[in-house]
Amino acid sequence: MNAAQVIESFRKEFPGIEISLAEQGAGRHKKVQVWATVAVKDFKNAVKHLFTIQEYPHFSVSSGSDIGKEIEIINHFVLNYGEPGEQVPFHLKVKLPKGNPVMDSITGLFPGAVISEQEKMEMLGIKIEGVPKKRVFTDESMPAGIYPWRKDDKGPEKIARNLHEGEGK
Amino acid sequence: MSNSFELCVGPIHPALKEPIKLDFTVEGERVKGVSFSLGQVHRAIEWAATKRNPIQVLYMAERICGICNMCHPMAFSMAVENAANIEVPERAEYIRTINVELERIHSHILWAGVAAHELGFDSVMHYTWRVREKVLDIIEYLNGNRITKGILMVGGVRRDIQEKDYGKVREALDYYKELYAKLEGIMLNDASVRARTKDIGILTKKNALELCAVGPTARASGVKKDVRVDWPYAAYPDLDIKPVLPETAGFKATGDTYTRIIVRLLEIKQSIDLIEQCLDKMKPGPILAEPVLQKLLVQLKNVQGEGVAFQEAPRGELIHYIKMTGQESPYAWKVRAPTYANLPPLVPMLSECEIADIPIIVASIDPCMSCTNRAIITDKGNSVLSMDDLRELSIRKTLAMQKEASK
Repeated sequence: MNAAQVIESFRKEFPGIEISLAEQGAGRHKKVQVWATVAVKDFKNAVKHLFTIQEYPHFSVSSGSDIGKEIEIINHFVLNYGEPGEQVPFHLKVKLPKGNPVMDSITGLFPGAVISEQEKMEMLGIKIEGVPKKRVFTDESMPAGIYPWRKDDKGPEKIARNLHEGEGK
Repeated sequence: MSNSFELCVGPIHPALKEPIKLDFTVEGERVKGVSFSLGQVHRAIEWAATKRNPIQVLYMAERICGICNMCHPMAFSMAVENAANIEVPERAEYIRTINVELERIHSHILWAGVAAHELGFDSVMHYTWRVREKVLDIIEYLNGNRITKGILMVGGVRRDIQEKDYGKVREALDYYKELYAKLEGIMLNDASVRARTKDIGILTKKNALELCAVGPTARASGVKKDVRVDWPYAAYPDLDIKPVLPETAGFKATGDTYTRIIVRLLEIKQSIDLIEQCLDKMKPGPILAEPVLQKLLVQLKNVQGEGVAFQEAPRGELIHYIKMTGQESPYAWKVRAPTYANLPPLVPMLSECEIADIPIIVASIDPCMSCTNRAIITDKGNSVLSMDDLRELSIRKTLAMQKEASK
């Protein structure tokens, strides 16, 4: 299934999904990526749907950021690996309201996603159902309730030593 | 009464001078369970990037890893170029490719030395590290530095490779072609290396897929996945390249430590071939999309969007995500190095292994976290094994196997 067919398949399965194709380069150097945003309730099913495209899709990592009233989580998948030139990176977004930042875990589908999910909980203060809360990257001296990637009052600005401010002075 | 007890390895790791804490449950010599804790050298680099402009971040990216000091800034540049829709000139793509393949050669040879050290073959470690000097010399000759080279730039590279220098590069490649057979002989045909690595630390294809393994670790288990082939970037679309699998050399993809050695060795040969192809095919031309730094900074300041780049680093798939919101600094940056993905696969690899095999199995994924050198293993009775003691166990096992084989 090429990128256009992947998009078509998702539109059919999840009406109302925001999904688009991003292209870069031309000819043999052309690279495509698919970006999609689903509702939180559809997230796990959307991930399951990837298994209809390739027997075992690849989960690379999830990234995320604080976008104001919501926390945006982007799960980066890879489809069609193993086929020369046919790989389709698939970036699946969910937006979690800060009042209830809860989402489903995908470790049932990708057991290898556990570090990534724990990292998002630790860095952004979200909750992922069924994944035990554990410090993965931050030191134990990091105060509880402070999440390094948050931009609001739960962020690290108050406790950070802004070394960069002294640069060049 | 249970016969099991707990072993804590780390947080400074015995095998690779890299900090990670591994908690083992063992019964006698046999590992029954393992869990790990990370973050001992977390530097909040992704957060720090949100306080700097993309060009400054480029130099931070170069310092994520001392070995992959070309892969990280290149993946970062590619992510920014993706977000800003910048087309990199063709010659710059070739120069980037040559440099990352030189990096792969030096990384895999370095790893071969580390693996030999973990098995107790320090003569091999010294030999491999000595021959690695040649690739570092050519990297220095081309870029002015052996490690952090500072030649990457968003939209290209800062330094061209002159045609008069091609001969020097070919000479270095010939050097490795000549000694490759010797390296192969040591690493693949030595009876002790075979005995210590064959059927040790097995990662099945199913486990590799479920646990999202990448790079040589995944390919040794039969997962046909190589970003250079599947999603060709830089000059790779113009090159003749196939993913290296154990089958390439007539071996079965058993996913043990030995097959991971095979894949990395074959990749050294592949990198030599790829660099030669680049030298044959690259044409003269510009090396930067925007040579004036101030103009580039203004251009990047106006970017609103996201970019993702995938790359095949020596250890496997590397991914950088960047979000730009029309500000001087990136809004968010996420780096996922290959070791991040290859740690969960360590769990099945280490399951049921002997304690003496822990160093070589952990080394077999070529983990990369940071560089330090200390290890403590302790059980609940507070007996303590130092790094040297653990390595001694590994060496004793090699000697015992050699003795057994000579009977």
